[in-house]
Amino acid sequence: MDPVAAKYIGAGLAAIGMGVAAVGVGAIFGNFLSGALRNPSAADGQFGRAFIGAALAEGLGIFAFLVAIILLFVK
Amino acid sequence: MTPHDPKDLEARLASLKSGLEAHKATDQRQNEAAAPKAENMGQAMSLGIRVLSEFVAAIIVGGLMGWQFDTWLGTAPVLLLLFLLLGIIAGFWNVYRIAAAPAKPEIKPDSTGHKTKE
Amino acid sequence: MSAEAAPAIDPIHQFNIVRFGEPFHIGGVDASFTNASLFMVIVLGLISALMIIGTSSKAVVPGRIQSLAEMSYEFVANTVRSAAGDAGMRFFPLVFSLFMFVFFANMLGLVPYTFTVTSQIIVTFALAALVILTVLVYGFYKHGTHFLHLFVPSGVPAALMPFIVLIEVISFVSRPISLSVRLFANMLAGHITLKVFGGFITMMIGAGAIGVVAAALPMAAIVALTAFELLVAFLQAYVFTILTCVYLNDAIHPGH
Repeated sequence: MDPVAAKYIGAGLAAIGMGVAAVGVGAIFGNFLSGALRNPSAADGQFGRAFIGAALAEGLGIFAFLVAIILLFVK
Repeated sequence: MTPHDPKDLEARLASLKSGLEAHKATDQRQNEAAAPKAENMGQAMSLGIRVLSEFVAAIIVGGLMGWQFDTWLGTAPVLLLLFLLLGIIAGFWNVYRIAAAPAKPEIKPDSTGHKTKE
Repeated sequence: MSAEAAPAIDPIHQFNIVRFGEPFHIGGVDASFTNASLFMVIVLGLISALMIIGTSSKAVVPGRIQSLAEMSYEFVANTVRSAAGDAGMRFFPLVFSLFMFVFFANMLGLVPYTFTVTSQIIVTFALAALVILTVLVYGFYKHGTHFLHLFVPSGVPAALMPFIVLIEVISFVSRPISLSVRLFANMLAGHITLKVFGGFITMMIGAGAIGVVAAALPMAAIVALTAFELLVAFLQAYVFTILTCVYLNDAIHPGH
């Protein structure tokens, strides 16, 4: 297979990682909401922690995106 | 003979209370400065962005340092992998410091002059 | 009415650097006056105008501009004191300049037809490098090699020590990178999103009568996004400032 074509296919596969990261972020906020519905008064204090967890999950998705970009644009 | 005079207890309670308030004030001030509590959407988002950028930056710095040392010393991807791993650990360490920062309050004498030791 | 093809949405065009006048080199480096330089000068002019006019009347009960100047001073002073203690006030001019520059530059970028200075990675990297160099130079000047105890937390078994020191060094070097990339990415993403939605509006209007009505949706989105970007402009300046104070505190009181 032509190496350039292989790179493009690899970049496409690496970008699937962002979809998985989206699942992770959604799981975090889903759990936060279900907990917040049970105990609304404590929800506001923990809202920051929900964003910290979301940032960590999103960070790994960004690495998948970085791999795709490196495959596409770095000779 | 009453072992505990009620007025004595009252005085001790009042002094303990004021000492506790002083500690809580410095503790809260330092906590708020170092790790901002997310009270509303904007602060929560800024906290999230801060965590994201520190996490990603630590891993990227680890990767770049490992790659540079590899190029200088000629070793194969060993150093790159090692520094990448260290960068990941450093990223989690940074996030831990932001999220659960154990702010050590300085042990100051409280208003009654007692230096409470922890 | 769509006789010509709708122009492609080009959100990157706003970040082009345009040189004014002739090229001007200092020692091989291109130091000519560009639109970025122009907007930095405008930011400086606005800050100076605010502070100079604000403090010129010296009234005990402040008027509007004077109270703006006083509020900005107090806000930054409280931030410095709470993060770095009273010893940190010696860095107050630096921190105040950084906060005002970043805040005004972010805000100025939201005015139409302006250039956002802080959406260039080199500008934010220069600011972050300034902060870290100040931390390093002051730390070594004040504490000598004791400053390196910053990298050696207490209570760690000696076998793990090399790894812990390497991890601390990596996390220290990652600080300027995270400072600069955070500000740059926020400004870049915000402005690109604004331009993309603007492009949607023109595309929809070019698509006929239904398009004109439907173009109200991206218009509402741009209004909401601009409000959000105002908040982000202030928040990013505040986060930059408070992290600067925390890093300076590490230089003043090293060692965990």
